[in-house]
Amino acid sequence: MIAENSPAIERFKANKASAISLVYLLVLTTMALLAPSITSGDPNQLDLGQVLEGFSGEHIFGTDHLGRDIATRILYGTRLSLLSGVGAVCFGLAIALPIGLFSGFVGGVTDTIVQRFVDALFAFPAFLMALALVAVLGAGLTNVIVAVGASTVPPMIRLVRSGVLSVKSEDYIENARSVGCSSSRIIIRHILPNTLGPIIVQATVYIGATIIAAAGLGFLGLGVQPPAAEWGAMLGEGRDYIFTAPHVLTVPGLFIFVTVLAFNYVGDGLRDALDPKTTKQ
Amino acid sequence: MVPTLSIKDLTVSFGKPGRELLAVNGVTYDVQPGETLGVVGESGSGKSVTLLAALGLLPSPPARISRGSVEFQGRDLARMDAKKVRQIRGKDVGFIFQEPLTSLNPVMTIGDQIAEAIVVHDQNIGWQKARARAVELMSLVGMPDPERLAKQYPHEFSGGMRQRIVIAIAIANNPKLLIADEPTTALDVTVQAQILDVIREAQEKTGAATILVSHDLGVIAQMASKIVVMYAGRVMEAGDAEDVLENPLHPYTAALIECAPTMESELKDIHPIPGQSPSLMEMPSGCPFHPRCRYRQDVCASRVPAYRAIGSDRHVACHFVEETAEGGRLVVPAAIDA
Repeated sequence: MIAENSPAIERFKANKASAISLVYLLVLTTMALLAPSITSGDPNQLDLGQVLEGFSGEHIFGTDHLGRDIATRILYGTRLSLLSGVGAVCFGLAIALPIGLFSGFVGGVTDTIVQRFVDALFAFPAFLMALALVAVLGAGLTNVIVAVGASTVPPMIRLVRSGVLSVKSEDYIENARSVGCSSSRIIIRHILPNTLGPIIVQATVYIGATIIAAAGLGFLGLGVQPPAAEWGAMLGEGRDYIFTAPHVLTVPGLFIFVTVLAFNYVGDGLRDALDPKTTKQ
Repeated sequence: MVPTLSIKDLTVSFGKPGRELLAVNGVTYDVQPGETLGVVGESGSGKSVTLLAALGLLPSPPARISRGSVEFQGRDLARMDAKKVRQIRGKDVGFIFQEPLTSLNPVMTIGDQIAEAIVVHDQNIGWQKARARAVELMSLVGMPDPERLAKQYPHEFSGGMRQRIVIAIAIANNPKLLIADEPTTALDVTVQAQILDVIREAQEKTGAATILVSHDLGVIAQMASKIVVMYAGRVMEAGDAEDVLENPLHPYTAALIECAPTMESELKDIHPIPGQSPSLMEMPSGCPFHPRCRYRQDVCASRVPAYRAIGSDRHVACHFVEETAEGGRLVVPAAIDA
């Protein structure tokens, strides 16, 4: 869709914070994928002789209350956190995209009914909805992805629908109709590609939000279950030692913070690159 | 001979029954194979709506055909299943729209957009063959280096080039009817002539009947052999293009010709029609043109004039057309260059 050295890519590069964030996320992802070859350590290896150690050459980020190497756990935790964030957004999109496309395209009474239903879902705070869903589904990675992903569905439906509404009255849609394209062909080949820009931007920002939500569930003990290393869960387990060994929760906290920030910056950069018409406030 | 498209008493209304607005009111005209019909009228006269409604391109609701028939090669489109009409659109009927800058999908290569028009109507052809045919069509409409250009996106082309692509899409399946809705309005004057040439060539190659919708009498005079003048959703006058332009029988046609600039005319020679064309909400009683008509009489405000045949090949809707036709009361200062 975007050719090399296209203006969109130039615009993205010009945005320093976004470019740095993207590099950070790429490095983080690569390290998460290559975790076993980067460290020989086992994230769940206990060493009760070395609990709550500070930063050292042997343990870069120190050890936690069970003597586990925090650096190794962060590395393996990246996998779970990124997976739950990306997975949740994909799940959310998989539901919101077809509903939003259909609702916006068909319009009329169907659209009104779908949108009122979405309005009702909006009444629930997203995190509360995720919490309730996990309470019903039970803890575990898959359920966290489903629960957090479901909480992104209402705003995603609105976003997709608004994109469809603005594109569907374009001349090239009428042209496609005059050529004899069926409705499904018009939706998939003409409307969807032209609404994708804002959807990609919003999805990127949502990855940040869902990482926080998944970490929040982990913190509460409702997310990925111990002993699995997950950033939120590490934060939760470390909270008893906030005064004696603050690094145990500071390190995962910082990773959550920086990663979410990076996704937001990349989202901003993508918005400026894909849609130069929207001006920053 | 069966007309390619025959519109009879077509009435298109918007809104709920009882409180509906008539955008098109009892329009009748037809176009024969190979012939070029020009439809003229001001903005909002219903010239486009008639054709969009005829081919099922108006969203329904709110629009609906409340009366009349539309026969395409003898088959009534107004009563045909929407899916069947869709199969005719793009295959037997090609459309050329007004806005070349926005009528192409910005994220699809132009080769693919032309090829799509072929693939949609022929499931067996496959994209590869369709793309090859797209390249042929591009050279047919006068695009240089079509192989390379086919892989480019619409924003890389000028308005005139894009209109050529739109024409290539319209003739992709050798249509029987070509509908060009203000095809040159959005273009530079220098490009207009080229595009009209391309349309004429396309028409010759496909042998299609053509309906050319325009508010520009000059364009109509150049292209059309027959002419239909519309006002406020009704046909005011129809007939042989040369006849109508040289000897208009309806005051509206005459007024239209008077306010069209020609190469020789000076500002004082141009007489704009006073007032505005009526809105659908406040349609005048009787003849819709009477508030702006120089020759209006009392009867014009109370009765709608019948649309009737005058002579062999002329139809006019004016109470006084018989007198006009005999006495030649309407004097036209500057006839349009034909």
